Amino acid sequence: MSKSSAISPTQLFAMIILFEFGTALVLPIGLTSAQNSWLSILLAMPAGMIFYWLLMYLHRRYPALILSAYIRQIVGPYIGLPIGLMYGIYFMYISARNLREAGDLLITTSYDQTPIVIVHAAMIATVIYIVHKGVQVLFRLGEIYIIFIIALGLLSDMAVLLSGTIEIRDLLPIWGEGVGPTLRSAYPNIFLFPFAEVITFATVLPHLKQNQAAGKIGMLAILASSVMLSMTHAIEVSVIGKDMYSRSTFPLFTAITTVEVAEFVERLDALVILALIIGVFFKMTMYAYAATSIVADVFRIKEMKQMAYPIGSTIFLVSIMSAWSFPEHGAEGTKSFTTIQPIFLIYIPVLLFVVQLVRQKFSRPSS
Amino acid sequence: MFFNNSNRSRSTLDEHKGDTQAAQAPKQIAASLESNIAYIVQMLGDSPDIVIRRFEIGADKRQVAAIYTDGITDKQTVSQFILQSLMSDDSFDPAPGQSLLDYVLARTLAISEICAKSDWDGILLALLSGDTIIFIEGCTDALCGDTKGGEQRAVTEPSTQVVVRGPKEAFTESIGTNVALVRRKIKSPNIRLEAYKIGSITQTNVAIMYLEGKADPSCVKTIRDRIHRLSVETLEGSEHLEELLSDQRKTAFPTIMNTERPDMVTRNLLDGRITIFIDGTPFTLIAPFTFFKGLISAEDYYQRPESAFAVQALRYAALIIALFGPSIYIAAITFHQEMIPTPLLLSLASQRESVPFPAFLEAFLMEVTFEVIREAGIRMPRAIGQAVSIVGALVLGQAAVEAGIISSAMVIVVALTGISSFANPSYNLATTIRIIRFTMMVAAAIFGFYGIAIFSIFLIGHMCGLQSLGIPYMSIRYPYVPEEERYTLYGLRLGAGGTHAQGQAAPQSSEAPGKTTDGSDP
Amino acid sequence: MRKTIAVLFVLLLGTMFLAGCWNSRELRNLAIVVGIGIDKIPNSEQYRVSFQIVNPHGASEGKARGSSSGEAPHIVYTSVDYSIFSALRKTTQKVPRQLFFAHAQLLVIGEALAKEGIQELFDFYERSHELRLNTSVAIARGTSAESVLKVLTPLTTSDATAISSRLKITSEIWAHNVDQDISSIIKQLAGGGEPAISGVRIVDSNSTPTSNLELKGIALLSKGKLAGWMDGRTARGAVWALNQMKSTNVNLDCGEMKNGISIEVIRSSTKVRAHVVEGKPAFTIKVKEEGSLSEARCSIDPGSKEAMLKLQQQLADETKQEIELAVQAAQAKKSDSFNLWAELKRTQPKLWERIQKEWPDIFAGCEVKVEVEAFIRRTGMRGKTFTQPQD
Repeated sequence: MSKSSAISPTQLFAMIILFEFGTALVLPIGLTSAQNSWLSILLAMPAGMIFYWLLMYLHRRYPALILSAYIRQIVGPYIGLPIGLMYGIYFMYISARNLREAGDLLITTSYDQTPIVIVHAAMIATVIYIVHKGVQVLFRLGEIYIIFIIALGLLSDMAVLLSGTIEIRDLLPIWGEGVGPTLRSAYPNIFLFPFAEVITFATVLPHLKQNQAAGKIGMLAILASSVMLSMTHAIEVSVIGKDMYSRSTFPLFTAITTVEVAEFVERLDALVILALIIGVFFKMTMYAYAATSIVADVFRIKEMKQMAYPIGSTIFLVSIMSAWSFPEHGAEGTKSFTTIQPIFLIYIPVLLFVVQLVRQKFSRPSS
Repeated sequence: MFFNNSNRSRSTLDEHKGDTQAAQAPKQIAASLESNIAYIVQMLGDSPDIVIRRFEIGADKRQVAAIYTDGITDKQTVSQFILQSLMSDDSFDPAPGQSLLDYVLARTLAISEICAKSDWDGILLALLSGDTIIFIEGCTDALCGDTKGGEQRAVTEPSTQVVVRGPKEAFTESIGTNVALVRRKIKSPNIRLEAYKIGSITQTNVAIMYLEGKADPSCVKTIRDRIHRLSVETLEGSEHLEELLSDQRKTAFPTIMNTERPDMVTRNLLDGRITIFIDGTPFTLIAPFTFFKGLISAEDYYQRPESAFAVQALRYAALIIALFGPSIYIAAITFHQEMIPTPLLLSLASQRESVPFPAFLEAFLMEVTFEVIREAGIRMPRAIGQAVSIVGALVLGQAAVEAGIISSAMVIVVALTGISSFANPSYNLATTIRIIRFTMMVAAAIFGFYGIAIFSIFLIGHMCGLQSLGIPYMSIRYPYVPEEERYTLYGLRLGAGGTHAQGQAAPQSSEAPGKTTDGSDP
Repeated sequence: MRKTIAVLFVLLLGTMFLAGCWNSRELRNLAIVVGIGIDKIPNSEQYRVSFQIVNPHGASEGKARGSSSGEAPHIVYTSVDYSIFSALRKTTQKVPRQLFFAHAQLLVIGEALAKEGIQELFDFYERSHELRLNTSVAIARGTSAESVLKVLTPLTTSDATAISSRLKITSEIWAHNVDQDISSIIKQLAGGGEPAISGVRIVDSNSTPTSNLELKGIALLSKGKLAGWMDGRTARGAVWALNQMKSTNVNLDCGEMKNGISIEVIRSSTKVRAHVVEGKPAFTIKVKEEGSLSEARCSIDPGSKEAMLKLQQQLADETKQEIELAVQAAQAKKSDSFNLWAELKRTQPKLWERIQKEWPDIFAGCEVKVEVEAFIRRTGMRGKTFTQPQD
């Protein structure tokens, strides 16, 4: 029977997919490549897989340690501790960013009179509750909700297909402006968001029941989620056109509003809003959990659950204070793509990998 | 019965020793017959339904008294097997060295179950359980003969969990009968039965039954430990025990199932679950219990698997309607009017023109009214029960609409929701859902769809954290049956099954669609 | 200690509920807008915006019609301001309820405003989360949008719904109008082409309230400004060119009898190809259509192969003429209403980049060839006509 904190491979699969969907499903992540966004997503996928493989490698070296713990092992405690702590803070920041995005989107589409504090508070309360309950509850929740999200996705796709609003020609030309813009939006933008974000799972992998499966399962999940994301964005572009897509704040929503089947099945906005809420919830909770895990590890706190409240409250406050308007929030995001995100998502992991390799080379002759 | 020899006898009458004469209470019976009888009369408060039959036996006219409690003993057994056999035998001829008691025990009493006791606790307990106690003058042991009987309900049809096709017998209040009903269905030597007495005042007989080899030993151990740790004064009914044995108290969700059907018990035993019988109630408890099991009724096992699957899907739909129905209506009408198709919206708008209440209040009132009608319908005498429900539904609803207090769409929503909540085969789960529905309505009234979504996440998260005997409450695929190497999906065995006793190979049936055997644990 | 913190936390959360619900709207307090009309005040920068609101008492389809006698099924309110959103909010001074737009079915643009340009009107539609992008659009012809909205029509609760469903139906079976919604208009305007919008006209404006509305013609816009109208056969040609032809009835000559035979076009598909001829763009419009014989007022024997071939050729010629008429009319007004730019952009992106700015002029002068292939598949329930051929 299940132990007190063990995750099955199916649950990991479900969580990674839900996590990848997060906000990527509804936001225009392929802004710069417009009609080729679906292609950019697929192009960024291999890098995502390599990154995951890198994480798996580090995990296999230190199967019982979470991210901050094995950072300390690899580069020594004096450098490792601050780096680990920084990761904790970084995760909190990203969690707050996600909350802000979701909150703003919800307010823009449906809740325009509601203060943002309230919208965020509702979400954060639930996040704190789930983090407090522990990783197993979170993953079991994911196992249940993945079915739900897939069903939602299928329903909306079918509705769009049946409504006949798809114009495949809107996806062409593919090479109109050359390969440049497509690749440029794939790297580093799409690679960083959403693919490299799987680094949060490095805090959860030690709880996995069967370690060997983690690699395959993760790859499969990344593959599946990128295919689904790509398809969704392709549908979005073909329904609303590339011009509107690149100007939209919430293209999936705009696309769904045009769907009308048999004069009765219309106004499926609720489905998209639901998908947004669920996706953001899992992403946020995963980040919050990762942050809690790291903080508990860095400060040697035994009861991780206690940290849920303070970290949750911090995330809540940061999400409100981080930007005073949605465009500024977006601008911050774009800037962060070139500054802090690569540090945490590319440079440090690669550095860890290299240092680990070097250590192994040196330790082999001596052992 | 075997309950006399319960291997783990619980909470004795120790707690009540303090009530009576603290200093003097003797533990063992005296040799004097009269003092024993006097003691019993005093201890039981000279109760009129304690019958004391004195007589003499043997050539030396030894004084004997047979004491039993009227009403819970089978009078015929008492008179035939005890009194008759004792009094008709004139030649008491004990062998040298053998006491009179042993002689009586070994040769005379033609009763099927008997034992000798000398401690007052055991004797009083036996007396109050329906045994006949035989005191012999000069013996420091008393004989307790099993003469349990008395009026009991016969085995009838189940009142709550009715099926169309399948056996129509239900448990009764006697634990012996209930255990027997199950024994008849599983004639396997691997059935294990453990008996306990719970409750220091009521001394209720409780028995655990499981199938060795299928049941998870850790679950059995958990139940055993929990029962051992109980120290309560009374045990009334299965609900009480359910509460005491549950993993977590701070939840509205039931983590232990109850049923009054022997076939459900059989099915669950074969699936590896543990049954708890309680004397005095026809409802037995079954643990562990997962959420998805709550949506399976006995009916599903007697129909074809495909139709059972379809019906189960229908039940899930009913569950969703029962939980979310009014909330979605409130959310759509109050926050998200753009979600409603235009003609429908115009129609709803014109309906609600005259209604003075906000949508939430309207829904709340209607739901409460429905619950009141339902509750009243349970208690109505059968003659007017039907009339009340018809009156309640039609007249109240219709009149309210005509008076312009409620909109007709709301009546439809409430009626649909109410009926869907009855489609749930598990009554306590249905009650839970009903309660949560109200909270969901509040969430919808405050936040619309966002509120419903967030609250659902909260709710499902809460359910995911629940455990039943250590098994996660939301396990989708449990139990795992190794010899068939397949899971039962959502607790329902798909494809041909058949009763499996230990060691018998399962008939190789067609694989049900959509199941995997990747060996992952739920 | 932990418990107190938890309780405090929950209390804090509970304060959320005390402040009330911000976005909740009772249906009773909503005025459901089904049609919007925009006019321009002459010699001013202000818009005159009209909102057609459904009257909930008379609007329910289920209740007996006319029970509240004399109550109009819809009401129109107007306001004047510099922006549409301001006018919208201003209207609350007149309407006893909050305006609710998510169900607006129709947008009518006054002809005068259309002449000045429609481009600025649509940003509001895009940005708002309530307004739907698949709202139908029409241009009021010879009148103002406000008057169009004020007309009452039988058989429906509001004429905005009436017009939009009419647009949908007639564009599909008579095909002298197009049903354009806002998202495709925006696509056109943003891309460099022109949208083609149907016109709506009031018939018999003397007797109210039972005056009638008629859909008439397709507007030709140049740089977003109304430049002219296409009517009759020209309009139908435009529908063909836009690949929106679903069904229509074509009258052909039969011997000496003009318009003696009617063919019902059942299916039609148009493909546009762009090529470059001497550095300049040229287009070929290829139409493939199928029809069946629907009415013959002269005598004809469909059994004879030549008669059928002749009919097919006639149909093809007629189609070709109509399309050419439409193209000529569009080119005369420098209005690429047929999405030709999209085809050019897709196949010759580099060329498009260069000529994008002068596209209306270049379009007026580029060569457009039309090729039609027509088939007549069926003749209905009868073959030969019962009238005898007149000699």
